[in-house]
Amino acid sequence: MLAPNVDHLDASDVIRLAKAGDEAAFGRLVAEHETFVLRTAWRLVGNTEDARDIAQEAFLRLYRHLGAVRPDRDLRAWLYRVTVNLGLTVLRRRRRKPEAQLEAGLAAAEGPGDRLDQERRSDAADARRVLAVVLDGLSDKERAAVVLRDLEGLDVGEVAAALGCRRGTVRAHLSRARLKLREALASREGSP
Amino acid sequence: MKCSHRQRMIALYAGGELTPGRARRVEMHLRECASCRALADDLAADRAALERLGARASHDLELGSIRAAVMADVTTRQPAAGKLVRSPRLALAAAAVAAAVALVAFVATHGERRAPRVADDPASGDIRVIEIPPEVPEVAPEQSGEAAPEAPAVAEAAAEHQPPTRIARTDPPAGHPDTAPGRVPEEPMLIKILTDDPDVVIYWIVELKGEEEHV
Repeated sequence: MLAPNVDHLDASDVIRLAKAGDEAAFGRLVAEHETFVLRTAWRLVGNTEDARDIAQEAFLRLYRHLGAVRPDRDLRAWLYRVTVNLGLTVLRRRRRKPEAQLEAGLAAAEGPGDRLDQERRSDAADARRVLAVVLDGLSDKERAAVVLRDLEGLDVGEVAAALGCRRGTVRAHLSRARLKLREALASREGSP
Repeated sequence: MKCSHRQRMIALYAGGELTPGRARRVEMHLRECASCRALADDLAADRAALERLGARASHDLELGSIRAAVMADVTTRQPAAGKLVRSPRLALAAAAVAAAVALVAFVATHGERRAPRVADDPASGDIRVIEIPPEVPEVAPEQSGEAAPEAPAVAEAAAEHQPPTRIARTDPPAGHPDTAPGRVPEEPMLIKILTDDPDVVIYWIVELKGEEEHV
């Protein structure tokens, strides 16, 4: 539970307190942003363990660089950029070690639950497998562009900031990626 | 313009990334071309399917929370950088000096033949490993027929607080490809060093001329 003195504060005040060393304030920053960081990391690398490592490292870097963060600065944009950089590093490392592929966590999570729960989990597992297959055919940058734009809903400018490239480059990644996805999905539609 | 050239425009049109003018031109073409219209419909459906896939895939994903792990790490660390570095410019200068000193200290003191791995070349996506031998190359006198070359004057990077001034390079040993007649010296290398802060990137241009280099 967060300390009461930070719960009611707005974002810029929380950042100011965190910069001053208030751990409760920094904890609130983590709590507010960890969901999208974890989700983005997972969508990039498709592996829970790697996604958690990426997210943890992203927030540790935030802690180390709090001094450079302006209170009015959009932390989400900074965290997206760090998360994407770390995710691309994992993907590059994975290309050199092909055996380190997507995890078995693509399978349905086990646990108690009624039949509807189990069906939803099975459906989620199927969706993860399909997503993994279709995204696997993209280059790292194309994958990052699609994850940020089509799954996370960032606009082109935000995607460009996260990838550290120009908007035109983002558009190029997106157009190539979508045409590749069309081919991948078309072949799945055509398969028995 | 052939339809094959429009596919990328249509892919961007499906995502709403075109300017109004370009979107209108695409729409005019779609009114006339059935195959492009089918592609546009498929691409729009793909986007929707991808969103649904993403939502379904996240349904029971046990990503949990990393807050406890982060806070545990934070509380065991030294005070945040925010307490020590108050100026972004100072942070940038400090990061540049620290990165350069760390790289030179590693090369000069570890005696390894390979320089530390540097950041990926953004163009190729491959990691470029740069070999800068800090010591006398191990060429046996009986192999080269000559006396071993003089030890290079390698300045010691004694401590991180004492930046080194230069790294000396030896001439390549006899038989090295670079000594072949007409051999054109290597092009300058561009080393891109990424730091923890994504807004701080250090570019280091290294001229490989076989002469002393100043850091």
